[in-house]
Order: sequence, then structure tokens, then C-alpha cells
Amino acid sequence: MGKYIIRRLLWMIPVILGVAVFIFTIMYWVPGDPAQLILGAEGTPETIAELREKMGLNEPYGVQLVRYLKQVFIEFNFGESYFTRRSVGGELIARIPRTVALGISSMLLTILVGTPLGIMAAVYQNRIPDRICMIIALIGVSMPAFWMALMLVIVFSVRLGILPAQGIDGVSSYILPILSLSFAGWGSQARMSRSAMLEVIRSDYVTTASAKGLTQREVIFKHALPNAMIPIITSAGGQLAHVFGGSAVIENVFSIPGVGNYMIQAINTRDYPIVEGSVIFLAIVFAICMLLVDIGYAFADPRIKAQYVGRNSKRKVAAND
Amino acid sequence: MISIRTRFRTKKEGREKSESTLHATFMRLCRNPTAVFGGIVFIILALLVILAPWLTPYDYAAYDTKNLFQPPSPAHWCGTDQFGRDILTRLLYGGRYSMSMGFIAVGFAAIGGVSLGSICGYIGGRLDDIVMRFLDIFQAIPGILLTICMAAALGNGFDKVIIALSLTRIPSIARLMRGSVMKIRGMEYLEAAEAIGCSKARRIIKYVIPNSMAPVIVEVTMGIASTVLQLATLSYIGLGVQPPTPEWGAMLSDAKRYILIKPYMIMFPGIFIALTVLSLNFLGDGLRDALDPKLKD
Repeated sequence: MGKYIIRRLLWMIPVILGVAVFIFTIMYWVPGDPAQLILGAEGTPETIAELREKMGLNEPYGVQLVRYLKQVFIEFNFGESYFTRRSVGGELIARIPRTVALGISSMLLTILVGTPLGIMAAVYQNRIPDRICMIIALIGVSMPAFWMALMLVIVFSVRLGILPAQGIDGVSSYILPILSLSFAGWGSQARMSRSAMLEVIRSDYVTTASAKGLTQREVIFKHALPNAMIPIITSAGGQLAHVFGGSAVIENVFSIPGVGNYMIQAINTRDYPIVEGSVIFLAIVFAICMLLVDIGYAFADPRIKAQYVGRNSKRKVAAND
Repeated sequence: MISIRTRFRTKKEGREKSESTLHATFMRLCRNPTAVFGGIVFIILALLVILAPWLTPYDYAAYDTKNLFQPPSPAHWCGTDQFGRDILTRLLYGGRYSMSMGFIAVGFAAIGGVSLGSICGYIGGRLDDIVMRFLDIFQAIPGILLTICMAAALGNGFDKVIIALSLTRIPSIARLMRGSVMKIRGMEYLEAAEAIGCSKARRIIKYVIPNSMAPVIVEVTMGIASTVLQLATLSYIGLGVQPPTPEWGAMLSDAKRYILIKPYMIMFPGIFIALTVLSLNFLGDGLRDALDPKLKD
């Protein structure tokens, strides 16, 4: 098990490095000169040339790339904003709690709503409850999250005036962002839970359980559900990508000062160090979360655990030979 | 009777057989009420969008200063916007951008993903390792963030937005195709093709791709749906299509300023997006069941 975790951790390093190279490269090719951007209208050709020299923008791509990677991964410094001159790393650290709070709670909501919907659909397969659950699920997937957010604002903030439409003061201002971010996930979570549950329901031990006269409730909750939990947890892990990406747009709609909104604003002002820093930072957080999910279900599923224990002991035997 | 027919199957009947698989798939699709509903809604939407110039008396770009901010009425079913332009007209014309860009972007992504996936899956080895590791990196950045960065890097313009949307969709299609190809890699008919001297390229194009397309077709249908969503999102945050072009996301981005006073301006574009995406999702879901009856239950 330890080996599995270490291997996964080591694999993260090249992936994150790759993300850094990738994002640096596409930002490098963006049209526009950073020095010109920083100096704005006041820049004369001389001062721009001077600043380019100072920032090392005249060096070849490879040199700039290596310098950036060294700065990020060895000095843990994401650079500073072109315009505010504030450290990108510091800003990211200050903003991440809000993004994580928003992300985790909408993921929990997604799981709490989507999973029962999917289980109900599987139990009543091809009957009316199944159809209704799946239609709700597909409607959820089909609505743009930001539009959902705007509609919620219209109803709860503009019409009813009970929830704030912008910013973050207190728990109540998280309600609408969480709702709009999780709504899209209900569908995919329900769909995954449905197929996981269907697979289990058709297995022999469930047939046996109902054959020996257990009630449907007992069969579903004692025999089928525990076995369907592993794939359901796995699919919940897949929601992470959705939540991390979606949170950027939702933060933007609700003006929440999180990492995603920081990045989108930086894109509009062409503040590249912020864009690069945010993407690398989000990729790291995302990778860690995925790792935790993987480890979590490896622990939860005795079969996966056994696989690794088995492989290790086999290897030991081979080494002894 | 049936057994005689199969025993003496002529070449012509053999072709009928393959037609009947297609036919059977289509029949299964037609028996699925949600898929039929999705198909019909999508066709209606597409017709509305294509026939827009003949359906509406208004111009989508001309200002009408006498009719600013008209709420929905018999004359303007979806109301008018801040310049007095009829919103329904703009939605119909805007659908041209949303739908065609979705189709083109996913079309490119499908070509890229299918060729990459089938080459990697069938040939395997070093090439496969390298490409898959590269795709890992792509997928380490959550979906929409990648699209946002690409769109930001490439800049504005229809062609660039389409490139950004299709590049970010390639990894998932390639992965799916690869998995599907690997399942059929050891099949006898491929060995037979190799034995009679088919080249690798010919085997991939003639046998590998057609036999592993089924899951990709579903992914592509659903992909168009989510690309329409992504395009709307991009335009909404100002990176996709720019106003005054009547793209649905751009219209929403424009309407956001009037959220406090004119909520209908926000409602209708969203309904059009949701209907388009929903109909494609229904269709894709039905296709999944129809192409692979085993998956259905």
C-alpha cells in the first residue's frame, strides 16, 4: 500500500512539471509584449527596451522556460503580478480556502443528491422513477452553470431578496454558488451511481438474497449498496475535475475572491504570472485531491488492497529466490 | 428457411446484413422515447436557426431606439434588448454561431482524437507511452480551465476559439478510441488482414477504426453538447465570441448588466442553450443504448 502511494506521489512530479511547461509555453506565445503592458501609455521605446532587458524577455525561449521552472519548483516563487507587484504565491494562498470551501461543499451536495437519484433509478430500472431520475439528471447536465447561477440570483436575490448576490460575507453568501456549481454534477453522479448499482443488482448474491426471502429494502441496503459503493466513490472523484474547473466561472459570476476568479481577471488584464501561477497551483491541488480519492478507495476496497499486498508478497518471494 | 438463407448467403445478402445492423441500430434508437424526443427537438432547433431570415421580420443587428427594453409581447416574443433589437431574432441568428462552432470544433477533435487513439491503441509500444503521458498532462488541468487558457493564449476570432475548443476535446476522444481499439486488437480478422498482406495504415483505416467507432460516436454527440456549453461559458467571460455578435453566451454576458431590471434578457438565451444541449444529450444517451444493447441494462 505504501508503495502504491509513493508511486502515485512520484508520478505527480512529471505531470505537474509538464503542466508548468505547457502553460508557460502557451502564455509565451500569447501576442503582446509584457513590458509594453506594464508601462502602458507612458512607455517610450527606450524604457520598454530597458524593461524587456531587465525582465529577461530578450533571452531565448528555452532559457526563460528553465528560469521560470527553477523559480517555481526550487524557490517556490510564482513571481509577482505585473500591475499590483504583489506576490502571486501569497495571493494564491490567501484565496485558496474560499475555492476549496466552495469546491468541497458543492461536491458533497452533488454526492448527497446525485447518488440517491441514481440508486433509485437503478432499483426501479426502466420504470417511471428511473425515467424521471434520468431526465432530471440530463437536464442538470444541460444547463450552463453560470446561467443557473444568474437565474438563482434573479429568484433569490433580486425577487425574494433573501440571499446575497455577490461577494462573501458569511455562510449565506455561499449558498447560491454551491447550488449552481453542484447542479451540473447531479446528473453525472446519478448516472454513474445508476450503472454501478445495476451491475451489482444483477449479480448472483443479490439474486440469492432475494431468493431467501429478504425484503427489497434489505436486499438493496444490506447486500447491493455496500458493494456498489466503490464505483460510486470513484465516480465522485471524477466530479472533482468538474468542480475545480466550474468554480472559476462561478466565482466570477458571484465575484468571490477565489483562485479561479483571480485567474479569469488576470486573463482579461493579461497578467501572465498570475495565470501561470493559478493554473499550476490548481493542477497541484487537483492532483492531490485525486490522489486522496484514489488512496481512499484503495483502502475502502479490500480487492484493490489485496492486489497490492499480493503483488508485494509475490515480489518478495521472487527476491528470495 | 432462415438456416438455408444463412448457409447460402450470396455477396449481395452479405451486404444486406451489414445494412441491417445499421437499420437495427436505427430501429432501436427510434424505440427510445427520450432519444426520439431529443432528435425531434434538435431538428426543430436546427431548422429554426437555419431558416431564421424567413421566420422573423426583424434585423438582428439594427438598433430600434423606440423599442428599448420591451418586455416579452406578441410583437417581440422574447422582448427587446438595450438597443431595441428583437431578442428572439438574435437568438435564432446566434444559434448559427453556437451550433456550427460546436459541430466544427468537435468534428476536428473527432478526426484528431480518432486518428491519435487508433494509432496509439493499435501500434502501441513507445509511441503509445509518449502520447498517453502527454495526454495525462493535458488532463491534469481541469477541463474548462484548459479551454479558458487556450482561448486566452490564441486570442479572439472564430477560428481561434474553434481551435481552442477542439484541442481541449482531443484527449478524451483519443483515450476512449484507444481503449476501444485495444479491445479488438487481438481479433482474428485483423490477423487475417495482416496475413493477406494489408499494410498497417490500411488495416487501421479499413478495419480498426470502423470496428471501434461505437463508443466514439456517443462521445462525439455528447461532446457537441458540452462544446456548446463551453463556448457559451467562454463567451460569457469574454474570451469566446464578442458582442455584438449574437452568440448565446455573448448575449448573456451582455445581458448580465441588466440583471436587476430585465431578467427576461437572461432567461431566454439560457433556455436556448439548455434546449440545444439537452436534445443532444438525449440523443447521445439513446445512441449509447442503441449502439450497444448490452450496456443498456
